[in-house]
Amino acid sequence: MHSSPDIRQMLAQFSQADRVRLLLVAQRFAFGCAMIPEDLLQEACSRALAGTRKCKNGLELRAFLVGAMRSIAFDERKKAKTHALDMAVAVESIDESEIESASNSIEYAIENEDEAVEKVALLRELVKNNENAALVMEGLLDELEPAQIRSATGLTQTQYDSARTYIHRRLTDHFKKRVQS
Amino acid sequence: MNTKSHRARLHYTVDRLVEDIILTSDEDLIKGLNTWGESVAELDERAKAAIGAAAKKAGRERLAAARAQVAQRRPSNDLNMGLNLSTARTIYNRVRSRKADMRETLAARNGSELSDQQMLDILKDLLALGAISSKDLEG
Repeated sequence: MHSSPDIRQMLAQFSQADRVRLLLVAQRFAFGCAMIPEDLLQEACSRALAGTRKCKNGLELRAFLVGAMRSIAFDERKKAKTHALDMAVAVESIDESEIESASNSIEYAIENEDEAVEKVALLRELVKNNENAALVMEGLLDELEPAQIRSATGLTQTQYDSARTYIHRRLTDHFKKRVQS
Repeated sequence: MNTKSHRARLHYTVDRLVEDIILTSDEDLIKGLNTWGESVAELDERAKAAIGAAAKKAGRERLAAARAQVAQRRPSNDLNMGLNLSTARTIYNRVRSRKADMRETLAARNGSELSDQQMLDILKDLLALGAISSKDLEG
């Protein structure tokens, strides 16, 4: 396992493209949580520097950082969901403090779902001016694979790729506006 | 109709969009950003700042952990390790006779004797560093 100084050195050796790519990934994951992209990236790097993961080279470190950002962005929602389900099946066997705790978790899960509703609405808003991009976004939100989206919408591969590119352009632009505001 | 939660749908969508970024070559990534009018340098600065902040935070945490470890190993300054001064000096002389570097240190002082406090501090430091054990402190 690499020591923290080794990881720090690997981070320092990242190319500009490596760093920009990680920030763009953080921007996408930031749609899945309440954190800003820079904080997500910083927290992922902190986990790498804590030295709890084997990373033999920069490529593995990049993969680790992407996985860490995903985990940070999605873990809270997963935990809240689990607590809510626990509450539903075991309500008779728990004491009042547990009920209060589970109730808080359910409230948290509802808040998270409300937040997700807002984020989904924002994604739709960002691409509403491009008809193909809006169609592709709906396909993604319906959890369809690219081939299914193309088949359902009748988009050519080129039109589909252009739509995906437009989506990414709008997402990146969204965070640029956030920084400037 | 998709009956899954918005969280699940958002999760899936974000994962697919992240895949797009991961699968794009370095060249196409930078070229695309330039085409969109994005400042690659500005994005890079923001990424560098986040990575740098993590490195600084990790450094502070390592320092705090090292300090806590030393503090845990170092006997309290308020105590003489349960020894009276006479016993402590006997032990100090015994340890000193075993350790060449300590004899050299004393020689560098031109043979002047250590004060009681200096002698106790050295014993505490040696104990904290693991150079002597609590067994050595048994009179």
